[in-house]
Amino acid sequence: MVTEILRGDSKSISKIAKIFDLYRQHYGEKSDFETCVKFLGDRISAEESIIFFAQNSSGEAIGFTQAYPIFCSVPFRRDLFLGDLYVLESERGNGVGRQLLNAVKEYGIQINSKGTLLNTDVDNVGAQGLYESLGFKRDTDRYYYYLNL
Amino acid sequence: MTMDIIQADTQSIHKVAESFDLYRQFYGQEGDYKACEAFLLQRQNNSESVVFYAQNSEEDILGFTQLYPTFSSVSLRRDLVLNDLFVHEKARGQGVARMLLSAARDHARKTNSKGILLETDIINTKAQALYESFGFERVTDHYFYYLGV
Repeated sequence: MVTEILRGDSKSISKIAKIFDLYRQHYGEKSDFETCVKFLGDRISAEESIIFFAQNSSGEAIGFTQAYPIFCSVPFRRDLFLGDLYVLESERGNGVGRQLLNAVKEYGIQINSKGTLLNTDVDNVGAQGLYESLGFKRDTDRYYYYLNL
Repeated sequence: MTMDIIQADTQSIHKVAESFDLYRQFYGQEGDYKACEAFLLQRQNNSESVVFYAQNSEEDILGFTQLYPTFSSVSLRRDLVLNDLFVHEKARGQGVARMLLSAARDHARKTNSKGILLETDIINTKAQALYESFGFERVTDHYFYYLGV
């Protein structure tokens, strides 16, 4: 199977939006293709996120990842906050997630980012295994708090 | 005590540099005023962070907070990471931190953000109590991971 990893840009938005919409539905959201297109388009045009997607030989997107630039102030560190990683169910087990994460890592090095932060469901052991095999370390020194508005 | 909470901009951000420098030293970094000033100014110039500071009637800086804008892709909404919160020792116990958090929350609402994420050391029970009394909830359904390059 030939899989290409490509950087998302204004031309590939609708292709990515299709699986982005599926990804959101996986997390219980309603399908809303138009809003997905707008959301991704806004992020790309304002350079507020970086997207990589995996494409099969038919030119369809089978997985994607989106990272948001962020900082850690104390060490003056530029980081990436990995918001999303998704691979179509039918395409899992072929290393697509790993390739997408490697693309983010390469990009991070180019922009002088010092690392990648992400979070995952406590019960998503599959994802945890993937992250740990790539060298991600679980943060056990801190508590994370969220204020829901 | 009369106290104002002000959102920093490119003109006023230098006022926060001294506090930011002390805050970083508290976390074990070397003092470096120039680098602090440059880091903060660069974030303001690029709209990469939002800073609020507290000052008294003599315009002494009492504390500050810095937030980084990000997104919750699944919700198609903005999100904020509160990375820094610092109150000068002489100004503690007067509700400065709470006022800074209120300003952060107002900003989050104004920008239609989903919420505010922050992290704190497990041993910092005082900070945890403050956050909890403010409505922050500890994230227990997600693990956080980091990969340094």
